Amino acid sequence: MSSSSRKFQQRTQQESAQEQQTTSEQQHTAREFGSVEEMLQHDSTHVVVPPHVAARIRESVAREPRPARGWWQRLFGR
Amino acid sequence: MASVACIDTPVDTQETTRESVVDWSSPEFGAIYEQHSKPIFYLALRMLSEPAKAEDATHDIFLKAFRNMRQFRGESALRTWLYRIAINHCRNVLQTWHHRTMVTNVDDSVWEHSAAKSETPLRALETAELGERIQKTLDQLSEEYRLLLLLVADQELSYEEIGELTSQSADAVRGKLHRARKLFAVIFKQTE
Repeated sequence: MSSSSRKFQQRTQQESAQEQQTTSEQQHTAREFGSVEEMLQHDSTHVVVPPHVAARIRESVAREPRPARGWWQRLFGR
Repeated sequence: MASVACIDTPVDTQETTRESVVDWSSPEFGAIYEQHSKPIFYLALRMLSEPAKAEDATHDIFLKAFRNMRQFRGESALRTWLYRIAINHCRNVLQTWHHRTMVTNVDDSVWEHSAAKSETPLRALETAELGERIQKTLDQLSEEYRLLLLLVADQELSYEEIGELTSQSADAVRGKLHRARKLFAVIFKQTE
């Protein structure tokens, strides 16, 4: 067998193996949902609240005036 | 995920439904944020379609909750109360959104003859594209259908609570959800 035909055979085998791998990956990543709710639940688990939102809220809450104590709380010291 | 305030013990939903239990001091508020921020953010994200708007909305919703803490009387679950604030906020944002007139919602009648398509399972590749396809589909639904589907996806909410949040009976919720699911499935398949 000539060198060029050996290379061609090797490349064909590699391509075929790659194709099989790709197909198998696609089969693994394809997902079926039984209902819209199930799909949305799955989607929501992949959504992350960015950490800076918590930081913004913490800063905003810190700037808020403390709620005034009621007259009964002041009177009874609670 | 960063928390508003450092607290180790998670807050139990049932425990936080009574005003006497929730004192809304800062650590308590931090725990409430930890427990409920994700579903609130998700609702805002899928209602408003843009992450930046959802972030702003989540901030505003929790700040409103903090400011109105005295109005929470424990008659409903804390999650339901937060959802109420979130729904009102998102509706206000959508109403003032200048491009809302550019969005055309799909009418039910358009899909009447496509009902059969909605009966096959929803299939999608498990990638970020799924989120994009969900968003595209929700964007084509009416605000009411979108909201109902997002609320029913939260397993903590009952049909009665969803009815309370959307000002209708639980039976009406069931009926509309049936149509919303079918419509979603038909549109979703077209986003392939």
